[in-house]
Amino acid sequence: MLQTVLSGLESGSWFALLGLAIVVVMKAADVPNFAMAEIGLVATYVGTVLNAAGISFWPAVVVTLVIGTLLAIVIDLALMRKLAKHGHFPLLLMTIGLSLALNALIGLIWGHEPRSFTAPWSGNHLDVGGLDVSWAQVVTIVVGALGAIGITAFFRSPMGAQMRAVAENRETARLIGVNAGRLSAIAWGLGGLIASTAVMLQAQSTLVSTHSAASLIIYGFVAATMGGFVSLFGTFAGGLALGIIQQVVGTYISTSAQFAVALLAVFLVLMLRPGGFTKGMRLRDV
Amino acid sequence: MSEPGRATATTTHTEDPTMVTAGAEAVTEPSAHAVGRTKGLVAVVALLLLFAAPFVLNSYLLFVLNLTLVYAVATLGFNLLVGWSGQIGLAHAALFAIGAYGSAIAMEQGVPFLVTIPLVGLAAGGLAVLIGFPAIRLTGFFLAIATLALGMAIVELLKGARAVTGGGGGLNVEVFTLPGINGSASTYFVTLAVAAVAFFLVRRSLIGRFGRTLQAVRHLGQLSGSLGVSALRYRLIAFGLSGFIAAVAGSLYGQLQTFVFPAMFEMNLLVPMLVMVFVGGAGSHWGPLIGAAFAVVLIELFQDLGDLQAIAYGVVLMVAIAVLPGGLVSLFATFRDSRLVGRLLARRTASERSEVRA
Amino acid sequence: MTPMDTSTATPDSAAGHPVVELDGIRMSFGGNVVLDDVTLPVRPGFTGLIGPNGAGKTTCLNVISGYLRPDQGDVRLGGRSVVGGSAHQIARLGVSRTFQTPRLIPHLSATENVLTGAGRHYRGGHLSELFGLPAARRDERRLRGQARDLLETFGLGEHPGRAASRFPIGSQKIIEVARALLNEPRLLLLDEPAAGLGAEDVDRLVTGLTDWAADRDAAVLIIEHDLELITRLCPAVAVLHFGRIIQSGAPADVLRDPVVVEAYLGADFAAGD
Repeated sequence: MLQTVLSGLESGSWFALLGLAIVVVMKAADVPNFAMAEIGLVATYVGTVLNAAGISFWPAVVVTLVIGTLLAIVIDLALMRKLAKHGHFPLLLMTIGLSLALNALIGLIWGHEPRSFTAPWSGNHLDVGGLDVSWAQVVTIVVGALGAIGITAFFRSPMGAQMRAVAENRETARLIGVNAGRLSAIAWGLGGLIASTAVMLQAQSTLVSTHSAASLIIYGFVAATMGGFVSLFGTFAGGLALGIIQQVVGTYISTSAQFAVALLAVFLVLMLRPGGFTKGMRLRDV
Repeated sequence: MSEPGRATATTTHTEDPTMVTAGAEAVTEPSAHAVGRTKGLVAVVALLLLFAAPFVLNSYLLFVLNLTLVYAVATLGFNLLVGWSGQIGLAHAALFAIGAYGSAIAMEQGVPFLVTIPLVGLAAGGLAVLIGFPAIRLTGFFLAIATLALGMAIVELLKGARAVTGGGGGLNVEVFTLPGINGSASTYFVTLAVAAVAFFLVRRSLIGRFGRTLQAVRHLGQLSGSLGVSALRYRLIAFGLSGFIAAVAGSLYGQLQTFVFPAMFEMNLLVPMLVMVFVGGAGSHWGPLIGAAFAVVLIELFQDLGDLQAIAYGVVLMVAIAVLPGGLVSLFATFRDSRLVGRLLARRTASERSEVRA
Repeated sequence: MTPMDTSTATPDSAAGHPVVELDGIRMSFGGNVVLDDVTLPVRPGFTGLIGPNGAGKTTCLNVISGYLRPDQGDVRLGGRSVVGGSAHQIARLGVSRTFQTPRLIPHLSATENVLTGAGRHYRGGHLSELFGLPAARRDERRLRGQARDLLETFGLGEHPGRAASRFPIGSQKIIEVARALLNEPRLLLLDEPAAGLGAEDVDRLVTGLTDWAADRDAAVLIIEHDLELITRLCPAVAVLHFGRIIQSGAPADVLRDPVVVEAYLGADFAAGD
């Protein structure tokens, strides 16, 4: 059971980080980004190629993160900006189109076989009181937690405060002189950075492929939903809970039902807490 | 029959995530009976042409046309829910699956195909109302995730109930034939008839009181209560109707594919369904048909290109959204406006004059 | 709490039984008392509800129209308690209202928007509409005619087919009033109908409302800051201050009352208005 929870915390960290990437972009740029997992995947694939070509681990990691960040900023500037005034759905469809295209592009360039990102600690294990802990799991969980703390700290900084202002009221934020365009680019960059971290963490522990992105993005969205698309803590906790539920179901019920059961659990949470599970009830509309 | 006016592209940005451009078409005063008759004539001619298709087209093109009509009907229901009532219910692919499986299983039990169509519609309609119950407390993305969860659970059940559904391996569908006509033409004729009736009835109810009420619920939310409208009741009706239509389309899909398996009805179907609604034009009358044609043609056009197909699909989707955020129907509206530009100009100057006077 | 002084209302409306009666309404949000023992009978004709911002006026309307359930007290419509009824049930009993910011369906025409108010006057159901039965067509034609007449009454008859969002905000508010009237309400609740309206729009509004009310027995409760409008329209007025009715009666008397003057001016100065 503990073993399962540990695996759950690991995959939960990927979901949580991806959820955070989605929430950051949603808060500052108001875009529901369905292409987040693919952005991370493109960056990670570049990293694995460099890694396979003999470039040592840490430089490859840096290149991966830079590519993820830049790719996200370019997408914001080139595709998303001018659609912003049309509301969420054209934006969502745009990111869906983008995720399809990026996914297929990865397949075209690098193929559809699963890959991993070999780290210096790959394959090493610890024995903690009879519990088999891989270093990859330790790294994932620690980096996930540090990432969440870092993002929370960022939103406490002056720039983060501006993003919160934009999230609360776009019009007022503009009036008090917040440069929404610059903030949007920064949020996208930050989102890309977090997403590539999430996918890279997944790749150093297990295999990633063009097929793994779809479930990752849905889990990420579900985590973001549990935080009401607003709360960083809610998203992080939601992602971890999702990971644990999914692993428990996979171990004790069936792996094919993982997805549906995890979503149903979230459904129950939503019914009890309609604004995500860190928020109280709110009266709609009136 | 009153006529829809121009689709006014509203660019208002509200918290309602489905609030996109093109909205519904503003209904102008139903004065032009002559225009109505012309349109009726156009519809009849189009139907006759479609009716002739099996005698003219080869089997591949007939299949593509048939598939387009099936998706158009499914999207008609989805658009009713998403575009008109403003609720992102994501169980639509699963309800479509209920139609395909339900019809096939009922036929195994000896129920004639044509009888299974309304049966699966009613069953899925009831189920959709249950799926819609979270709408009591949830809206927007929260409702989307909740309904997605229920939809995936349905597909999971289809996989699990091996004895009835054949599990992940799938199920053969007994093909219905009209007397004296081959299977694919029979399927096509039934599809055409169902599509014509569905579009006619849905359009008719949407241009009148029912459509107005749905939009009041969408735009006023709970405040529509002050109009004597129970928002919840109409939200659930929209779920029920969309489920009914989804399952009817699903039963036709089963006939068309002759073999169904659960993996057909997952995200790989749900995402194209969303694309069809929004690329066609959410909250419009003919958007579902246009969106379905767009999606099917795109898939078929780039078939056998492998990854290039998916890239092309994604890129064309992105271009379509970037150029026409209100969906393809807004293109027709623009075209109509430009053709009638003279008459419109005259009307506009008159109205401007009156504004100056006021 | 001053009891409503009915003797100062116009003779014919004073005779009428209250259309709606608030009786000892208490309403609080999270320990914050917003309405405190509010008792207010609203008789046929126009009644003004005034008071400084935050006095609880809109909350009163929300309680009457069923959006809020009071902690204590009763709301009686035609003598029958409606507390606990949902907003749409109360609307179907003949209670219409407007909102401070107009809530219309932006891309639908003015006429269509007004028609959304007609819900309870359709005799047939949606199925008879679906199958195009003659009764449904008659309903639609009749109510569409009434909707246009109403727009005409308010001087908006020129562009019945123009999309609501293309009207200036003042006209949108008037369209909303027309929508409320198509319900043929016995109680009409107007939440700051004149805010944001130009002088000419206010005249249209007043004329339209008085025309409409002339041959009807309906009661109209108006929240408004424009005291001139209140004096023009309402023979009776009540003043709400910090959730309590501090004075009521004929506008001329009420507005001269030192307590009211202090409540109004004091609050306005405090708010830096």
